[in-house]
Amino acid sequence: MAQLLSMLVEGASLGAVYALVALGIVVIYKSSSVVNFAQPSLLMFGTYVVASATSLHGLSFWVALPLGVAAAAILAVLIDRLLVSRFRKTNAVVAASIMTIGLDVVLLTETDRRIGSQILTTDDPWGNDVVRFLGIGVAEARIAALVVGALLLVLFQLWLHRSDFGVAMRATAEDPETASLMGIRLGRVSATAWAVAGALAVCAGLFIVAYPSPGLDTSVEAVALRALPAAIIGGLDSTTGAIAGGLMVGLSEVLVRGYGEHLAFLGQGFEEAAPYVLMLVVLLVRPAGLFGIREAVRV
Amino acid sequence: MTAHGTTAPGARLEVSDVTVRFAGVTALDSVTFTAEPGTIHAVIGPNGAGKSSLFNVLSGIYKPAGGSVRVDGAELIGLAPHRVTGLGVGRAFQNASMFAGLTVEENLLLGRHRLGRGGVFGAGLRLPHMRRSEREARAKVRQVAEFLGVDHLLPLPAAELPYGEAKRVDLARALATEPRLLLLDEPAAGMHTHEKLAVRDTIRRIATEQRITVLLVEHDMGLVMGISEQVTVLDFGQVVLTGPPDQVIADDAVIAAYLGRAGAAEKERSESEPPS
Repeated sequence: MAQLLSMLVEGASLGAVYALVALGIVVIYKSSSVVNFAQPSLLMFGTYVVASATSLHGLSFWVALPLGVAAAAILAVLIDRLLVSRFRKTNAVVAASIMTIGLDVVLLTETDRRIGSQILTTDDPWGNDVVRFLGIGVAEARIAALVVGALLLVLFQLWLHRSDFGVAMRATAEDPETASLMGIRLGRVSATAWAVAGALAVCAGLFIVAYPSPGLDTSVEAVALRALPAAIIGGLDSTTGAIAGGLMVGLSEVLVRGYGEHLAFLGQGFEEAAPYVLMLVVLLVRPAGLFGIREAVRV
Repeated sequence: MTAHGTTAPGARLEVSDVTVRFAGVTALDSVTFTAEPGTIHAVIGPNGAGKSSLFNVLSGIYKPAGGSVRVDGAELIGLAPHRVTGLGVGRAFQNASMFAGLTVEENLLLGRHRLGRGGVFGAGLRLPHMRRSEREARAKVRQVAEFLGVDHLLPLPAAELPYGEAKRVDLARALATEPRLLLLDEPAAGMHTHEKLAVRDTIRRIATEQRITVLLVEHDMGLVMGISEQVTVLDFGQVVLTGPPDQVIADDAVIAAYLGRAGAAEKERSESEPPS
């Protein structure tokens, strides 16, 4: 029982992190109908900026954090302005989405080259402490991920539903042409979405590399990629779906790993495939994802 | 409604030599007319005459092959749609394209989007001047909604509106942009007689009380002739005539173009034309 509880806490914590990354994919999709496969590279880039600032240049975490968030947000806006916007005139969203796959490979190659064989730590304030409650021990960083993740998700939803900009973004998601006739600047909506996606990815990345993970190395990108099935499970055009999808992916991964000995017939390391199997099952039943409206087929 | 008396007066719209071609088909051929400030100016013509193309040029969706469109002297051609809105051109749609995922109030607030200040993050951070700007926007939206008698609908999801009310909310959304020129695309399409009378009164009040220039595309001849100061007749993309309603009704060329050839087809036309 204690084992299950600790797995649930850890799965929810990991799920909140995936949800942050998935939310970035969803917000870009909503604002421009482009699926951003480069989200893992934004995460790697921003997290690398933070980790190298703290472990190579001796900056404190609280100085490095805004630097990394800003760096990823700026990179994301540049991608939107310089590359994705060129596809917008002809509405070639499929081509733009595929372009982001290539971009992801290129950017990851560069961050991998810089990281090399190092394992960089971010000097985050949670350290290696373990919190004990209800007979289980959970890393403080995991609790922090859950709390900060939940907080960011709530703030994001408030922003999307209360602010003037949120209304503009939801209108753009529904009908870009009419939105622009209302005086909404589609380019600005899209750039903002990319900036927010970049910033969210870094927040998630910092928790992925926190204890008990050893730190930032090149394997983190595979973890980040699991946000993609999370976004698709929830429905690419639903922010609520991104949160639900993130939690499902996080829980499935932790539970499959935790009960690995009972699932030995699936082979070792099946937890890495579990999110994708989950995605396939969900898509078979609901092609638009759990909360999605537009079918993912359209992209 | 005295507050509306202070709204900036309507703009003069000068359309000259506007030509639009699609793959060899000339949708608009040297179209020229002027709508005077604060007047109601109708554009009529059989289906395919080029009315929708004209509206799409006027809202920045189509780039014409030639010609000029000036709103109080400012050139509109070449501007992106959101900049056209910035010139003071508001548009209500034939099919009342409400954003179904938003409430009625949010739909109207969208019309205020370009007029708000403080930008993206100001709104998130709830800076004091943003709160004031937002309060003003909500107040203006309520004022416009009251003017059109749709204020009781504000909290409802737009998806739940019946067609007639969606048309009125669409008009309110166009007015919320504080236009000096209002483009109305078949405001009475698909409406009953008593609803048409209400639409007629509303358009008249927009022109007289708010002094906004109204450019109207409409198939209901009774409505057009009853409220328009000037009527421009289009046929095959060309202007047949521009003049006051009584002159237009009496003109032989108009009767030939409008009623003679296309009149029968016009009557058979189903009320919902394909969206433009």
